[in-house]
Amino acid sequence: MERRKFLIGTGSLAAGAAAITGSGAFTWVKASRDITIEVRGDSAALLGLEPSSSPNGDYAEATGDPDTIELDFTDDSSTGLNNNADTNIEDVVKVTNNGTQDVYVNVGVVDEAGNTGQDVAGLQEFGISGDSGGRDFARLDAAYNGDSLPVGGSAGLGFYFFLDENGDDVIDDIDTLVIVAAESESEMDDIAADF
Amino acid sequence: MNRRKFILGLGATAAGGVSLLGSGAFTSVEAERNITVNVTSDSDAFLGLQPSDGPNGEYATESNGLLALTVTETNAGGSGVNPDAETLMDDVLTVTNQGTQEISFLFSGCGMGGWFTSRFGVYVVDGNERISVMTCDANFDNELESDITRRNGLDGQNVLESGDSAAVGVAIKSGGTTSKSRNDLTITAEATGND
Repeated sequence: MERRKFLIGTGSLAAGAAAITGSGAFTWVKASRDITIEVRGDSAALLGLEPSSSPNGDYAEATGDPDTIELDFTDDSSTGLNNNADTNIEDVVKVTNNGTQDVYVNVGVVDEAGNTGQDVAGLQEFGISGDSGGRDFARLDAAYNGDSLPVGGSAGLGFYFFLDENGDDVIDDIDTLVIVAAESESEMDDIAADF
Repeated sequence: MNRRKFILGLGATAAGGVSLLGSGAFTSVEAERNITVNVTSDSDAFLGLQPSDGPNGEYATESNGLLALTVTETNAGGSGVNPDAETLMDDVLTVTNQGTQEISFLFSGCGMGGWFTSRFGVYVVDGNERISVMTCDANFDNELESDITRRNGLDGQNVLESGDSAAVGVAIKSGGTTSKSRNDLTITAEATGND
């Protein structure tokens, strides 16, 4: 007896199942998947940053674990940068594109008060070396085309400081240097606008 | 075809059974029946999940039919994101609605345990805006959605008609320590007609 009743149920269940598989519709799907994120030092990261092997690499140091790059333009000479002068220091940091796309690279500064770019007191201009149009920094690698850094390519990153008579305040005030890499010029401009 | 006929037959038999019994009451029924469910890989499923065809598809893999996000080694020699940095990766994976109804999708999991040094968000790109499609733990909400994904508010960018795809990116805000974090990233997709 019970068997018969239960067969009714089976019949309707089967019909329902046929309707569902036939249409491919789903009401909801919830699926969990692995995500793994590794944080590594600047020297091994997606945007590789390490002191250049050139003499000017002395202005950069990889410190800590994970290593992060630090720039110091006072240690190497006791006098530091000239006041009311333009100084260009090339090939300080070796930048390597360890990512998956060609990137443009740019640099910005932020002072202790949160000012950026030329709003930093005494700073008339600041940028990456060899820069005429914005991002043609010094070359290390023949593969670097002067506009963007290809995947796997390296280049030497330098800095220029155009200081006015208040220049000696500047170096103390600069708190943060922001290095930006982006896959398009418009993306770069978008991010660099904040610095 | 055979299956349908079989079901009809059962129905008829069952009807007879009911009339014999006079009452449909029973305490319990337990029976095993076949159900055919085709389980397929993520790329072929109703909710299709695939590494992107673009260069950032390198950060996703499908292994044993399951998609995973792996922001670790790159072909170019990188081994993780930079410390103390924000990294955006557009177009890492593709979500495709391979069912028959319009769906909406969201990701969750960024606020779960184990993320002491790195936080991440998931977004779609709509024009120049990156729109978060991630729901986070309250502590992470504001930071991720404003800083990393520049969220303007979700306005249907996570809705897919049958056959449509969305390119999904990953944003990572890393801390200052070396880490390798593994977590579950959960995607939930729901037919928009079902509340």
